Amino acid sequence: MLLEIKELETHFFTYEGVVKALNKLDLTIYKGETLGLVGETGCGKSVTALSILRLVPAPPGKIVGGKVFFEGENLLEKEEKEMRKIRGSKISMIFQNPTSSLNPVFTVGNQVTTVTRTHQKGSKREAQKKATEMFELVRLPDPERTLWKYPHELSGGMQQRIMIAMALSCEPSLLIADEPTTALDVTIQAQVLNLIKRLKEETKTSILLITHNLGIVAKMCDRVVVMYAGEVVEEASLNKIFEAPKHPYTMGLLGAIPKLNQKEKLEVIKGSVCSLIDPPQGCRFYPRCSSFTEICQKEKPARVKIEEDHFVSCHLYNF
Amino acid sequence: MSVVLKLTNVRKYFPTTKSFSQRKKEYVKAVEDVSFIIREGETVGLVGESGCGKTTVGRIILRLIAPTAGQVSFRDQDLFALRKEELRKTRKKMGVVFQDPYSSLNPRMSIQEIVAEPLKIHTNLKGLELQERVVELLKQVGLKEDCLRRYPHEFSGGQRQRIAIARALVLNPAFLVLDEPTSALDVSVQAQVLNLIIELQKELNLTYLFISHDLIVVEYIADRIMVMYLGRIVEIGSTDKIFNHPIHPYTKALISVIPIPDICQQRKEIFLEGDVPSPVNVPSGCSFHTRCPEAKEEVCKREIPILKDLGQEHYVACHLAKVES
Ligand SMILES: Nc1ncnc2c1ncn2[C@@H]1O[C@H](COP(=O)(O)OP(=O)(O)OP(=O)(O)O)[C@@H](O)[C@H]1O
Ligand SMILES: Nc1ncnc2c1ncn2[C@@H]1O[C@H](COP(=O)(O)OP(=O)(O)OP(=O)(O)O)[C@@H](O)[C@H]1O
Ligand code: SF4
Ligand SMILES: [Mg+2]
Ligand SMILES: [Mg+2]
Repeated sequence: MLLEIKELETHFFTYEGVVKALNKLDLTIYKGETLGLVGETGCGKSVTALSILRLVPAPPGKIVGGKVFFEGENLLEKEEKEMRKIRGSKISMIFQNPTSSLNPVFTVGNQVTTVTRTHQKGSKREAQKKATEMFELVRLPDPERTLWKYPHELSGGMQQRIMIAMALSCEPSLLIADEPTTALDVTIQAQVLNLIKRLKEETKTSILLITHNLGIVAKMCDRVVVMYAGEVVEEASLNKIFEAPKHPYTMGLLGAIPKLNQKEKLEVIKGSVCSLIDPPQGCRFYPRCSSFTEICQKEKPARVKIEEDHFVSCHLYNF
Repeated sequence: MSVVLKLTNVRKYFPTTKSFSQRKKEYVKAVEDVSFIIREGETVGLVGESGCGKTTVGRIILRLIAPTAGQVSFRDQDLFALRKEELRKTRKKMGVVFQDPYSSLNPRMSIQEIVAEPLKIHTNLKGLELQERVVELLKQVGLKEDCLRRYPHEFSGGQRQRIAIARALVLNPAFLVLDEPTSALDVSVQAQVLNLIIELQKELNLTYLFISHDLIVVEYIADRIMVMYLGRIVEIGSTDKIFNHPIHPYTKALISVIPIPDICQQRKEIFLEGDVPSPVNVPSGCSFHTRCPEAKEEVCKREIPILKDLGQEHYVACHLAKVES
């Protein structure tokens, strides 16, 4: 076990009210696995990632409860100084939009060596050599020359590869990738996903892959966590999520995406996501659920282990 | 089925606003030598990567911009040669839904005003009649009457896209350009809107040009698919041909790398090297030759391949494509 989140609660204190973005979130990442975190817009995927790194913008955000154990220690109890050491060395992150995460006024080589030199000892020369190696590893064409380029001189796919090179340069034990290919075209996306997969096999880094694309999940992940409105509704191996989903929301999501050669009408989840300021009592999904019963409106469903490595939070499985 | 829309050798060049010291003017070759037809009642998908010219094709068809060269005819009438009165009539037969439901609706207009606006411009409907037509449309797209006096910001993305569809349908068009109509929506809401688009087509006998970069959605909705690369159409075929028997090396690669939401279908992926070249400096010959895994012949660098008819409405622009006899 590499990372264990227990009952994590992150709120945003806004003018309209308190946004309960994460509500008692439980999640585990094992060593060497790729865990997919899926769910629709606003369900709390990015906030989960930011909470792990303690980068939730405050104010308005605040982690109000829970624990985040990383290699056995609770990150939420660490000094900010210690956290800074962990970020970028033991846990690193790639964001959706490479353009906004690279600094436009410095060459990419400068940015990569700055990162490595903050976390590792060594001369500037060594850092540059290391950067060139990283650029080779992520298959950037002409790595030595690329070091001297500015972000705007590179395409989106190349920028994202630099972000990956930067994220991996300190050999982190956990890489958090938040929609790493959403801004890219399919053929470039394929190159980047393939790269992440290959690097993971070589370095044995654990990956938390955040995406709303179930195709990417099927291609990349070992296990999957499905979120709805700030809560985990189901957690299981890739096979079980796709072949024997249990939560009505997971089933709904799978029915709503077209499959190849599909002739039948798409299944629809009625309505839209609930407010996080004033979420429904009981199960947050019940207003959209086609199998809800009376208890769903009143009580929050507990997390039930229905099989080894398959967890569901739904009253249908609560005996 | 009769031909609704026909494009013949359409080209669109945009002048670039590059540094003034450059003497030679440069152009973004957004659309190059595009020809195709769309028949009544069909859904034709237009796919390709960002910047390949899909939206530009859509905008030319809607007469929002003029082509640099070529003809566009709608029901046998040349759209760019019509006189004012005829043009008004023809234009009413076409509608459009754009990707972004947030920016395509005027935030200061109520839903009633948004949907009624084209009626006020193009018809004599007034008062109660006008209102009735608006309510009828809102019902058709699955919205309730109480929306009328509300404003766009009060609606979710999926609801706004329904409003945009209602507006596009208000003049009883025969043909709609749907430019990434579900790309900004979540999957659960995308399914609602896709189902609506399909139902409306059946009810109203509509013809669609469905532009998208989501190939799975296009596979689901389209009868035929056109694949674009750097401003040119490289392959046209039935959805089955494009997905199961693609011929063009670009189509083959594109189809092979779609992430399929299914764990049983593991396929051999074809990875393309490098990035799409700039549409300002398009490579010589076949514009795909710089990335093409199959290009070996000199001819690929030298000659532009034309769209060859392989029979069964399958067209491919590649020097290696063989016409079966
Ligand atoms: N800075 C903030 N201020 C107020 N609310 C916020 C802030 N950041 C996030 N939230 C709220 O927290 C919730 C979760 O947001 P989050 O960004 O984690 O969603 P997500 O699952 O990553 O969605 P997406 O798929 O769109 O990226 C949302 O309802 C959002 O409105
Ligand atoms: N008004 C314009 N002036 C200059 N260049 C333009 C203009 N409109 C489009 N272009 C350029 O023409 C090319 C084709 O653009 P277009 O919007 O048609 O692509 P697209 O296939 O719709 O892409 P996307 O999938 O990103 O929507 C691009 O290189 C674009 O930058
Ligand atoms: S014409 Fe040549 S370069 Fe172009 S796609 Fe065919 S084989 Fe490849
Ligand atoms: Mg996010
Ligand atoms: Mg476009």
